[in-house]
Amino acid sequence: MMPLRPTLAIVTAAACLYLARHTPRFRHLGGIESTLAAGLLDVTLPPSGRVADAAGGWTTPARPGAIHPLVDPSGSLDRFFETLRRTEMREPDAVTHILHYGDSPTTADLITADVRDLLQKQFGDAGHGFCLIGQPWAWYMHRGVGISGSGWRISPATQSALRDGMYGLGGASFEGVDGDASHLALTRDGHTGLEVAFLRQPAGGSFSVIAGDATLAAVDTAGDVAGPGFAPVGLPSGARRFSIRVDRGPVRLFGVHLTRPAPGVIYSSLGLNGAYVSVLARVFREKHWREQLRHYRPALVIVNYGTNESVYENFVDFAYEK
Amino acid sequence: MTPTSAAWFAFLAAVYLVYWPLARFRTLAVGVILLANWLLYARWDLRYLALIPAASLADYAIAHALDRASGPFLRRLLVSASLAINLGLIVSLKYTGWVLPLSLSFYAFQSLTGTLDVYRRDARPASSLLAHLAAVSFFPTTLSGPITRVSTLAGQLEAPAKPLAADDGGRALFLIGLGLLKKLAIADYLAANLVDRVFDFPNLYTAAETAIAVVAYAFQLYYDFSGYTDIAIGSALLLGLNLPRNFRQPYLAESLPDFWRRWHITFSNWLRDYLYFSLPGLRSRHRIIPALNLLITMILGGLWHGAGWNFLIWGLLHGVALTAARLWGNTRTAEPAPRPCALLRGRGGRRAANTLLTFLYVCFAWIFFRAPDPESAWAILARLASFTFSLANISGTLALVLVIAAAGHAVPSKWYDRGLNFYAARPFYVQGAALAALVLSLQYVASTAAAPFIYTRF
Repeated sequence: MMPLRPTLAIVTAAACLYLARHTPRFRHLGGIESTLAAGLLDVTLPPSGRVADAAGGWTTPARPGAIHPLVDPSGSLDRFFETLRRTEMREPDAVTHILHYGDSPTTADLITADVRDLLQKQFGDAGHGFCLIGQPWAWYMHRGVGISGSGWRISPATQSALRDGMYGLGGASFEGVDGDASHLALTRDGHTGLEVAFLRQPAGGSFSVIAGDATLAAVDTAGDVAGPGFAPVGLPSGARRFSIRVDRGPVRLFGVHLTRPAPGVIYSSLGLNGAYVSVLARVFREKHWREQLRHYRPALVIVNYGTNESVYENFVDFAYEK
Repeated sequence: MTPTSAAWFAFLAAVYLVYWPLARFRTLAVGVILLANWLLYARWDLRYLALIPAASLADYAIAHALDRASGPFLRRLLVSASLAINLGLIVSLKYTGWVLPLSLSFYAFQSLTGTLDVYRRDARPASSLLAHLAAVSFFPTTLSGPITRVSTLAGQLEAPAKPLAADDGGRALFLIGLGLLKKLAIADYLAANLVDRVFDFPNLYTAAETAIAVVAYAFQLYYDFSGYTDIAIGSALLLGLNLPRNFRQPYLAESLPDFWRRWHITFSNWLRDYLYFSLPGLRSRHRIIPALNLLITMILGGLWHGAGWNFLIWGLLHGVALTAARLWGNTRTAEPAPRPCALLRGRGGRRAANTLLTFLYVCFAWIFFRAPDPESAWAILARLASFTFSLANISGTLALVLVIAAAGHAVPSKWYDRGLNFYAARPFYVQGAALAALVLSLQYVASTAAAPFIYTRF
């Protein structure tokens, strides 16, 4: 009575999917796990602590102190762990760059600074990472970097004032004219590289990076077409204070990236006040953001929104993950 | 465990592998299906194991009592008890805040067909208790339909088993693959890349982009729901059971009554047969009475989706338009849908205009269906009225997917049947490899996780 052809077709499909999953060359495509059938008889009872999720599965709410291993059947974190392993082995130039996008709790670099400290303690310190060159709102701050600026016209992505959608890596654009300046003060020694992210644009002006009385670099932002520009600047040994000043406007900057010459972790805290996950999905221009991501080459991008979405029940239940 | 998950297909394969060797022992085979039904519910929440058997047993007892009873009072009492049980399930799970993952409304609709058909003497109750229990909670249908009459399904379960024809097996796999393709490659893509964005933050988009998003939502909903239905029908067919069709190119409808004969057919039939026909005044001399009944039916149909003003407005929009069409005697559109190429010839122009107008009206109503509340719907309408034009947020890929969605929806049934039969006639290894290739392609290009089916919420 067993239907032969349909059964063989099903077995063929299952075998192909299983082989794809367990063949390194095709693993990235997907396939099925051999453990799949084991969960079929697993039933859920709410008092046990599990709750149904929107997708029809179940989830176990985190308990304080409990360790929950990450479930990553598709292996999407493999590259990150491999990079982190090389960093831990202190291989030359093995830098693990992590980007952490978030909303209000992230803008003051509180949680992210703790995570940065913990990771850098274990895997090495390759620098502070990316930060903005001014305070779009009063509570924007980064632990270890004092930031002040004057004169800039600041456009955070959350206000979506710029129709071009070019907000750099950090989600804020700083437009300046002659004399506008930013001052950054590092509390730790050891940073040797500073890279200014800017917009190369027709009729773009120029800016300088200054440490004390010395001009470290003068950068012309003029270009035939609008596009991302990055100006790497070497910092003198022991330099902790430096400034970025517009020599000739207009200039549009996005932030600075601070590095140290050692294998380790860079943890860039990218908080935007009042941000929704939709800011990344809709306000950032995809091409521009892709170019930024390609340049900074993160091994992991953390998307940590939710505070502002939490008042929209339907959005949290059905749209956030998408 | 949703019908796009690997767990669903492992579950289906397990049921298939146990069911067919036992198929000739009918009681055992139906028992396997019943066990599968209840296991699936238990996977969602163990409390269903108390609710479903209790409600199903009660309906079975009521159906048999109805069959034997002859007094109108007793019969009304019995059918009222069944209505109270099933509508009570819907109300308590949908509107009172009693939190369970599934609302059971599809279960309740399906179960009610059993008692209501017996009450009307349209069908006899299932003689086998097992067949009744397995039919009312048949696992491919109870998440989101298609709503199948208990008499139809129980009849198939009670009949001696027929071997699954090889071509039927191929058709089942084709439908499952097609359902996955519709859901993951089209519905989820349109939702994630335009529809959800625009409906969440309409002020970020121009009128042109908003209009495209509304049209995209129409196709998202169709591909989401018809994708689910294809998987459900394919899953049932693998077990040798036939489920009714739920969609018939709804956006090619030439009028709103025509639309409702093509969209969510089993639900609109249910509303017609069990609600509209039950309302008083059906044969009234006053034409306004049946028209008002139609309006009430559509409003209740809208509110079934959720107790919100947006669903009320959606139901009202359809109810008013259907009522107007009825009053104007404009419901005779039983001719088959025009083929796309026919639109260009002769009367095709008028048909095309009717189809376009119907589609635009349906899309307009979908705005209220999709928006979480009326304020959001007004915001969408305000953006449409801004008459701003820019397509900066419409990527080339999105436009392509939308064109494919529209073209796929309009594929003539002859072409569709040809494709279905072509696949079904291939050797098993071609069928299996093609299905695996499709799944791998979808896993590779689709979102990291499939979004929940829209209609499982209802």
